[in-house]
Amino acid sequence: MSTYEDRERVEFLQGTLDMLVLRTLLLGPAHGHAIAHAIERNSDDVLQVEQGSLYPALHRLIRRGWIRAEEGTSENNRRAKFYRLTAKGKKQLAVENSKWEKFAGAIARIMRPAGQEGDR
Amino acid sequence: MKWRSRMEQELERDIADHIAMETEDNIARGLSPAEARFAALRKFGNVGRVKEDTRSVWGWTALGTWCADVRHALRRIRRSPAGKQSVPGWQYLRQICRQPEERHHPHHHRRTAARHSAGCGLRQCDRHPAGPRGTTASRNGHSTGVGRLARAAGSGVDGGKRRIVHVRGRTGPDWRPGAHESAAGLAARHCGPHPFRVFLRSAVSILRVHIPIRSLLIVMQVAAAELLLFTAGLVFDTLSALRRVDPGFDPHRPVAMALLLPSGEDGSPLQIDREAVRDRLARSPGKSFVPSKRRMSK
Repeated sequence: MSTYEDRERVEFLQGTLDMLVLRTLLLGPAHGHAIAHAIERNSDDVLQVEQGSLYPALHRLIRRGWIRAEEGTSENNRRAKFYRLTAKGKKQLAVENSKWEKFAGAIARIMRPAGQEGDR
Repeated sequence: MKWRSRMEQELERDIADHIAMETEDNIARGLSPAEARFAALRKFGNVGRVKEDTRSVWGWTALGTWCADVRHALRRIRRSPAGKQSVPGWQYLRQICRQPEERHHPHHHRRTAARHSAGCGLRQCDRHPAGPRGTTASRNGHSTGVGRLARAAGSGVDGGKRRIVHVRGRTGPDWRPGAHESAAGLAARHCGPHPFRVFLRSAVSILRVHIPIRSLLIVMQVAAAELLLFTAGLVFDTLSALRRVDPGFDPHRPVAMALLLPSGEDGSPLQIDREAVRDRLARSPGKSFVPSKRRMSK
């Protein structure tokens, strides 16, 4: 059943999942399940990660050399694959961050006058 | 292929681990194991689509599909009679050219009373839209109108073994009590052979082709591909050889000079000693080749 909280959750913009994964892995290596939960938790459960979509993104980032995978053990002593940010990934994260700030600023500049008009 | 298999296994294991972790979290939140797993699967999404999307990231989708097609074709060839023995090629041409809906039509079942003017009892049969019901039976025991009668009379087609069974029953105006006739005989007598089959049989009888056509086509395709590769290699080799040809001068820094001798006042060629001019030019430093050429008269 769809609740109000469910409706409040928003889906990802195209291409932002890769950036969020890189940003999450900047804090340290993590497995797929932890990455998905970290994104949801750090967005106050506003961003809804379809967890399955995480794996194509992770493999895409591996292919580009931005992250690498290594075997590890989870906090529940479960064997899992951990993903770690590479130096190339850190540079790419800086680029993505810059692009995102420009994008968000542009959207905000467009939306702000409409909000101000509404306040009048 | 081993690398791909290993990647597939790792992906499956990752997905299974992910779902197991989510299930454990759900159980910790108080759900029953079944509900927890169901919720985890629902949250994960379509596992098949996730695998497919991940494979597309690997870039193997087109190659994998092509390999699967080739493997399927090879299996079909190996299992088909053509892969085991020599059979007339027209049978394979007919199977290739046959439309999918025709394959399931009892009129086109091989070695059956396929076409009979007495009608088959099928409403969608455009070949025999009307007419009294005759006797037919299909290879797989498909029940047409009179086929049921035939089986009720103790005859018909043994669908399990797929062999011709003589049909006894009403066969139209030519029927006579006690008549036995094979299904193929019924078809040929009432309808005659299919025009396409006649054409193919004629072609085969002329060419006397008794080879597996499908295998031949594949061999021809492979041969054509190899020929193209060989031709491309020859072109590349020729271009490489052209680059190694010594033109007799430095093509990167060519220095050329043309000496145009003036004509006389009356337009006649100036009378000079060309050989002397050529020798003087040849003695000048830096010259390696001094050709002598007369201008062609108009």
